[in-house]
Amino acid sequence: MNGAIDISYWALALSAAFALAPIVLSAAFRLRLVKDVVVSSLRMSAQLALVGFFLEYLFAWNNAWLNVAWFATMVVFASFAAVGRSSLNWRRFFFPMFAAFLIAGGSTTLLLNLFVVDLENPFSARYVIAVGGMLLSNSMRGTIVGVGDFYHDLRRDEGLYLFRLTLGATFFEAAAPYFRRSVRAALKPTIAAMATMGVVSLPGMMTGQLLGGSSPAVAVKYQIAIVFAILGATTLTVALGIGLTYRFAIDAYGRLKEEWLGD
Amino acid sequence: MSSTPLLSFHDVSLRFGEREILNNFNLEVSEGEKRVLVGGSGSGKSSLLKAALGFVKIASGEIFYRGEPTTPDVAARARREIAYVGQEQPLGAGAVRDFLEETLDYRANRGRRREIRERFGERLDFFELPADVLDWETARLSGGEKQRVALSLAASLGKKVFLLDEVTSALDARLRDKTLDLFLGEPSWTTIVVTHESYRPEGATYKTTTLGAS
Repeated sequence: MNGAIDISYWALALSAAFALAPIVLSAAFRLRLVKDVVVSSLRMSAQLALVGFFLEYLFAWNNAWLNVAWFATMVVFASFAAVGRSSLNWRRFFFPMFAAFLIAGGSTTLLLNLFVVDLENPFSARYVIAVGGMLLSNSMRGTIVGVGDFYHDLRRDEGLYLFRLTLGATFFEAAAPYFRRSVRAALKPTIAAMATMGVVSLPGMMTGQLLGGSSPAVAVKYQIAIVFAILGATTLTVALGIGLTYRFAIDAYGRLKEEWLGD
Repeated sequence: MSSTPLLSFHDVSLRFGEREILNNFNLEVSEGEKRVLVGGSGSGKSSLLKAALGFVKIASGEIFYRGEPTTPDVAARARREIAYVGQEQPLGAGAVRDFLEETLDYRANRGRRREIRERFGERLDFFELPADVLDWETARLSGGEKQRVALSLAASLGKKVFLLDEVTSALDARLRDKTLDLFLGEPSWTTIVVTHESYRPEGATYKTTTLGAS
């Protein structure tokens, strides 16, 4: 593959000048954004530099076990973020959430690599890490919305939840309306983005491939496949995320364990 | 008829955080009995009803349903047999019909769809709601309409035990009396009504328990 034109470090530093825009605007209108912009800029640069450093080696070694370990690390971070942002007790919910991401993200990545890309080695670094990372980050966004909404609504409407239980609903039947609503909320952004894809935005992955020298036809094929995979992975992660955590969120009486749900 | 009370509270204490709201409360309600629980707000009367269904943890004491301590299994059985309507009972999103259909879809009710649907219609009529209330959005119902829909549904499932928490608070005096006459008047029903107002029904015999009078 003939890659994109390299950027010199001096030129890269120059790109940080774009960050002056919010800083100047903040100074002029007292937006109080300077600190956030600076901190976020530094974090972004440091994290990516570190990842770039590791990826150089991972790609060079291309060891299946290391690639899977890297994938598992991404799953750990995704699970932490999803549990934390849905304001759940991470001690109790981390493992079910981890299982949800691992099963959903792992299986879609593997299926995509095996049957769509038709790789001989489905654990090759490029595909497990790059494709897997995209699937994980996208399903994480949906999962934060979906799982967060589910428990938020369940607690807010606890009176209705209890009423359903006395009307004959099982624990799962009583939670089903919240499940439906939150899965819908989780998938909406993905479905909406699909409907405008290519017209309003050129997705990041496609841009990357085009810069990397792929032909538009190849880039588009990958993009279509990955969007379908994202849709599947998000659905699976949200459904599993709710299904696996719900068992831990209620006690034998069906009461919500308030102390585990945080605030 | 057996002498085992249907529902009994033995030295039940309720606590919200550090605050004790009910201390060593005792009550036995036998089958067919009608009981009115009176007490100010925060006296724990709503929590008592919820505790009987396993929805609220009690700090100490024990609640028995048909002579058995309310373990998860017994609480599940109690929920199957007891109809409960909470204060300002929410009915979910969508139309009243959607909530009815959802209820009919529960595995426990699936086999009795027609029967429940018919009785629900009769109850709506009894509570003086028009037949087309089914098409109304629940969000547009007034507090009193919501209470009457919830009561109609709870009383359509063929249950004979009713725990009613301030269900008449949004009804006018005439509808309130009509409602209480129904639930306190039917001889085969066992009813516990929580209220903070006094009520003097014409035909019903019932006992009053006052809470929080310390």
